[in-house]
Amino acid sequence: MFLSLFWKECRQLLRSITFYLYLVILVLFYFSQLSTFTPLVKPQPGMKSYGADYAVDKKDIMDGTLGKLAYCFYTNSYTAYPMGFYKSVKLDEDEAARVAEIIEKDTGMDKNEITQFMQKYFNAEADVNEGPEVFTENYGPDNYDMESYDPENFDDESYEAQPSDDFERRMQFWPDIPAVEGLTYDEFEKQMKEIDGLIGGGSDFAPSRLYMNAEKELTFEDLQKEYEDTLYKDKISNAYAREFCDYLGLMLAILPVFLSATRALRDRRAKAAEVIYARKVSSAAVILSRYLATLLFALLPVIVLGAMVTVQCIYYGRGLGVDVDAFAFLKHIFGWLMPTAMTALSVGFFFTELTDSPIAVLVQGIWWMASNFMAFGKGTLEGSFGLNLIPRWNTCGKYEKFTEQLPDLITNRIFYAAIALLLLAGTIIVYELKRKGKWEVPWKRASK
Amino acid sequence: METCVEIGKVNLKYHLSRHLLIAAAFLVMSPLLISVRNLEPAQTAQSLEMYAALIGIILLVPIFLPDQDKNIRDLTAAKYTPALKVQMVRLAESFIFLVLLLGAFTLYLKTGGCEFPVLEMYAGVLSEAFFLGGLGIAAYGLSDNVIIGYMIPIVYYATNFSGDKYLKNFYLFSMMQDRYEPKIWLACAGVVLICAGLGVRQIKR
Amino acid sequence: MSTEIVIQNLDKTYGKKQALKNVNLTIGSGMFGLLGPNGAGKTTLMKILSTLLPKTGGEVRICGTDIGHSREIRKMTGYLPQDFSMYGNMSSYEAMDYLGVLSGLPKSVRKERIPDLLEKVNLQNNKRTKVKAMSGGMRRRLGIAQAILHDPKVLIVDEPTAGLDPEERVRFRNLLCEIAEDRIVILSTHIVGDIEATCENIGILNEGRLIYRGSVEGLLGEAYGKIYTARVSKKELPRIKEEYIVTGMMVSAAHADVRLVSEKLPFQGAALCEANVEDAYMYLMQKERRVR
Repeated sequence: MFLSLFWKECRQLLRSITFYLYLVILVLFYFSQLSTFTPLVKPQPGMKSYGADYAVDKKDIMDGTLGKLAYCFYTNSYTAYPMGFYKSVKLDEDEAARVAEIIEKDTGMDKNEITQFMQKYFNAEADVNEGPEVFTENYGPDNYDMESYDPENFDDESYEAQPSDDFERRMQFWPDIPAVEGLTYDEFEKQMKEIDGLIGGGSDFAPSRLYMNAEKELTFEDLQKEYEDTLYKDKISNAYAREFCDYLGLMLAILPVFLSATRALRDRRAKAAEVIYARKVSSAAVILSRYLATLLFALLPVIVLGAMVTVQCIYYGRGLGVDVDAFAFLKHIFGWLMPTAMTALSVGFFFTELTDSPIAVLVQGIWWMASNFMAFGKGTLEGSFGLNLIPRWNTCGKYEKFTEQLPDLITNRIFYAAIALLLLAGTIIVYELKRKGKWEVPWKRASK
Repeated sequence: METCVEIGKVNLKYHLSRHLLIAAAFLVMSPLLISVRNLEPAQTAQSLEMYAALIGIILLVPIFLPDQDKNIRDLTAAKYTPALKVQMVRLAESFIFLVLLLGAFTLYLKTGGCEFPVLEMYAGVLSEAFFLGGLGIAAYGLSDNVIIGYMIPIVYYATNFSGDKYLKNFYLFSMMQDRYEPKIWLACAGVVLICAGLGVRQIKR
Repeated sequence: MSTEIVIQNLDKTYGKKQALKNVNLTIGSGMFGLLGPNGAGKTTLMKILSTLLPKTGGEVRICGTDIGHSREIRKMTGYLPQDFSMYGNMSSYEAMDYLGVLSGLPKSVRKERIPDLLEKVNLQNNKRTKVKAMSGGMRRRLGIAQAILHDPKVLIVDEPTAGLDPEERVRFRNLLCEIAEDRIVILSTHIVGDIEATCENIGILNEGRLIYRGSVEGLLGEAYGKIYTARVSKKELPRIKEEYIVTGMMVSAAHADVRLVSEKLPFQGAALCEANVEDAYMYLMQKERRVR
């Protein structure tokens, strides 16, 4: 009986306008974002610069952070992104004094020395008392001149230049200030956490964001290693699969809720609810068949798109003489994307069944928005998965960095699969209660 | 006129009130989700365009919802007052509350130390909200499905996060780039979409 | 202006399907019954008269006004759909008031008429009862009350007694008769009993065509001499059911008393009897099928 129900649900979905809209939107989104297969860039030796990335070495991070801190202290302007939305904070006297104290402890420079250092570094003749806006206008990141990776000036005509995106984004316009000897990273992190607290959270000094304060110039060897990792460890397709999941995760965190909300409301619209309630079939069978059918149809287009890219990877790999992991996309779709889709579906079913209204759309909409904004707030679209509904990895490659964060991703995905299943169980319970007349939507309860 | 007022009263009491509550709650909880104090113009624009404008979807899309039940729809359609008039009253009512809520929110930002050109940005966010609502009304009118009515404007909003390459004058987040011209396009498009939604609804009947 | 509905050569098509074919009908004051099987086109006709559906061809005039002038027509007609429904959270008074507004009635008129009408339909003690808390019968009565709130000349009622218990049904029919005193009431129904009890004139639709229009007596006259009763053994029952249209059957231990339709004496032992409306209807439908 369950299988028949399941196939009937599938057939019903084939007649649903909402599903076709879902399909069109998903496909259009995919082709607008990832329209062409972009081959990997093989790094060439002898270039002027290979871009930069966030520093990994703890000493580098400390030095960079202290420099950023000194700059912020100097201008008394701290930025924070508690929810991805920019927030500018000015500290009061006591708070600023505490910051100065910490800087002195960590660098040996007192307030005046910091001032002199900053002025010298930025070659500033302007009166800083005019305010930080003037200072940053004259000496801020837009004016800082750096030797940058310049493909136009490269000698080798055969080389196809591709500047690193990362480099443009993470220009470190503030100087490094070396930390004093003996300062441990733990102690340093504690102090930065304190400062982050003074600012109100989500600032550049939050422990999870410290690494973004320091930049490390990349070398040919760095890029070469990354390239080889992508070819031989990622087997090409895994790298592309991650980027694929990054983009499609954005859509799968919202679109499926429309499918499930439509399905859950259909019975009410057709006034078929009571007719179904009175049947022999179990609530679990009713809900599960709907859920699984909707999940299948939500993922089918994604699987097809993934298959398409897998084929492209295979041809590409053949050209390079590299083995490609043919199942990479399948693994990523089920491991990475499916929990997101499951959660959106479950929210749709649960809240619609609970309230007989489209409010699930609002709930999932807000969750989706918050997830998006939080990702922007983290300042990186590569990792820092935490408990975000939409794990981001907006790059093709970086095998080593990804492998380090993989345990976090796994935890994240298990968490969301569990949430989805919990909400699904909740849906079955609500449905069962409704069937027995023990749950009626509050605003529909008959008045005495 | 009396008819319109009476229809408006019933609409507010039985239909609009819950959407109004949700829209108001959405704005009230803004400090939890976005930044609302001491913002510069670009950041204020972000809070308005990426957040506040969404209440256009909440308030405008449900104007056909009271007639979802075909029996009620037939019953009221057979009355002297044309169904279109009733829908226009609902639309006007929703729009009035949209104007008020967005106005209150804009003032709230101003009093929270945000620096921005108040009238221009207010007009801008109103246009965007009107456009999003209009998109939903057109989708709802065409499909007779409220979920699709919500789906289309939300998806449109989502696509704007990828930038204005394809959307050009219909890009929602233009004020963040200090551009106001797209807002005029959005307002006009909103009018066209609402007319289309109402028109299709009359024909389909 | 005569109180009359004139329908001439009315056609209605939905894509390839023709729901109404060349319907010609004149309906005067009083109760007019519209009978027919499911899918015959009754609801389509009612909706056209209520301006809810446009006609494809032909002419319809209600009290002299062409059906194309919807606003004028809606002033004159009251419609009670098959599944009357209103916003559940409204009380009966509020629902009436809102529908009164939509009918263009000023506040003073509504204030005067609504209590009277609620009393007329025996809902005077349910002014504050929410629609969702009302029984089917109560809702139907509310439906009638709202349909005549603006004092229309024509009342169009679609299957009003379906699902009502016998007592409610009788009450409803009596109410309709009262209302029909100086109005046209068009009542579409499956329940032949409703027709028998209340209608002078009827029309029968089948597959979009009007196969009978006239008085109830006329209809009975058509079936005169065609209705027989007989007592048969239970063994013969299956054969009889196959050969004839059986309009009534009472089975006991040893035999069955049947009532059947036949052009002539079906078999020895059968006796001619007086036709009722149901018999006549069945006879007519059989004739129709034979013609087709």
